[in-house]
Amino acid sequence: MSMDAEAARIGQALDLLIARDSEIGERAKLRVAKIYGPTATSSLGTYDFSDSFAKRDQVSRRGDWVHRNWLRPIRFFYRHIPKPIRFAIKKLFA
Amino acid sequence: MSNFIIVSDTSNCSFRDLLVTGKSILNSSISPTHWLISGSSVQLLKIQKQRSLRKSKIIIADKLPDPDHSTVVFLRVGDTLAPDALSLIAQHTNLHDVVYGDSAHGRARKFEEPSKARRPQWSPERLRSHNYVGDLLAASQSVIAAAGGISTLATLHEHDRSLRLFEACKSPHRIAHVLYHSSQERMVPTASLSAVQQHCTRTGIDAVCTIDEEMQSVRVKRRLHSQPKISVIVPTRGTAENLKGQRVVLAAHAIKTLIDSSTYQNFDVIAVLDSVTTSEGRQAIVEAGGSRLKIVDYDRPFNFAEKINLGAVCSDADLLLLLNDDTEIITPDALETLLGILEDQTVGMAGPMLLYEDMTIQSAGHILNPVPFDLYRERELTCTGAQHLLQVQREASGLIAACVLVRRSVFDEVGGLCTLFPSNYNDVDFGLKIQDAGYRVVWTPHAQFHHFESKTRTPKLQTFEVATIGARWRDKLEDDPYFNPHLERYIDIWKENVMGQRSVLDALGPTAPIASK
Repeated sequence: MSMDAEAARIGQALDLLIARDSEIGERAKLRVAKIYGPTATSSLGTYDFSDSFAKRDQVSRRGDWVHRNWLRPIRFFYRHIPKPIRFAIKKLFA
Repeated sequence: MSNFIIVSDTSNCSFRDLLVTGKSILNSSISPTHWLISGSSVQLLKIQKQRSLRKSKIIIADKLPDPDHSTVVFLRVGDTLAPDALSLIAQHTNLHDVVYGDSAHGRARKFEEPSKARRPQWSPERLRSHNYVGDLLAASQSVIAAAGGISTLATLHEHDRSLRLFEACKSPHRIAHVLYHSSQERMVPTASLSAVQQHCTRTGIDAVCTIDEEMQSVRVKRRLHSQPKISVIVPTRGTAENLKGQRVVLAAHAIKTLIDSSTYQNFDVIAVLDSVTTSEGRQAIVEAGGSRLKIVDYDRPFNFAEKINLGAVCSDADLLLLLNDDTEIITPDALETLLGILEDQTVGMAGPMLLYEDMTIQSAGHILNPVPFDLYRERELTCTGAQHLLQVQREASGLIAACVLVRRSVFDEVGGLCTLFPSNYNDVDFGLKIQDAGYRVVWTPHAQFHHFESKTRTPKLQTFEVATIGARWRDKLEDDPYFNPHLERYIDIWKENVMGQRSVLDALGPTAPIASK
């Protein structure tokens, strides 16, 4: 096979792969759009992991109620009661 | 609403255990019609005399007079059925013929919550290694009949029972809720070598099975029926780096070690060289590859996916090993192991355990939660993973393209690697495409390669790549079947979600998201 013919065959095979991939990609996009709405497949940046990065939110929320000033005496009392009672309370509110 | 029959085997169990299970059955939100107890007639008589059980409408017997359309639930004596377990199972029995779920274990610390074993969706490859589905299984009567009947199944080892039930079923399903509280502290699954050997005989798998008694996991090593040719595709730019104290051209090193160390020799090598490759680099690669080597020049802007596709279309082999230039074979029979996995025609792609130079884990398959991570990255090789996840061959949602063996027909069917992902996520997309086409993707710890990727390398995630992977596979990223919705998201380990007790650093994840290069 000549070099040109080989190059043409390779080009054609690559195009075939791209066409097949696009076909699968379009089908996948339609499925996602069906589930999440049409905006899911619109312009760039509509999907970003950081948008749903709920951990940051949870981490910042974590300390909020525990460290409130009005809770301090209660926390102090709670920490100084006997351990079994402390854990029993913990279990009760879990 | 479904009728339920609970089945328990009393062999080697105390009456006290039986009573505990009985009480939990009484507390169930749906009352079963029967509780079948096999193994001991004495225990049966004693439990039948129990006042609370006598007052209930549950028929306690040793066998079912006539099979009806009830759902049969196998429950280990001593385990406690969760009050809502039967109602949860009832919601799924219309669509699925075998159901399993999560479990709670032990009262290890006096005032602490029991640990929970969270399980992935149906994973047949993993079930051959160990009984990851747990001890509670619910199955329809038709499946029970096909698997050998209630009385036979009740007395079998749990791994044997699970294998037989899953062989007979069509649509297994995992319920991501705690269905029972196990009396066993041990959370890791059990395994039975004879059960797996019998399973292989029944299903026509020609394999050598061995068991690791300590880890309780069975290795199913399939025999190769042919020695098909593999094309090893190595995209490279001829980079030279220091490896194990020596300066080497990475691609030449990867090719040479594969040729020298692999016990499987029917392969050729296709090196896809960037135009920036130096003449020294090219020369080293040519010398390493020898007569097996075919060089393909790539003169376009960097696109990893395009380079792989180019190598693939220049190959005439039925199997393609996609291999990064910064790799090195560790287990000499790695190619045979991967080929063995592909003997199963339902598997489209298989990948090995990848290790850094210091033998810590680089990748044990992908996990999508929803960011694609390399599972257990940077953990010690001695780490067994939750429920021995790292010790067993199992299905994964994706594999890092640094080293995967893929069937050529599957590669063509899914359109190769997507060129819309020049650097990152082309392998995540590839794995999802393969599964979308109906094939399984299997990862194995029994084949190992080094991947000398720098631990400190920061993946340069491109916005458009994230957007494209989301546009195509958002639903899959949000719900990885080989994950569990109750596990911690945004980290690379299989861990229960216990946010409140962890540091900010832990919560944000120890490693950066993967980038496949």
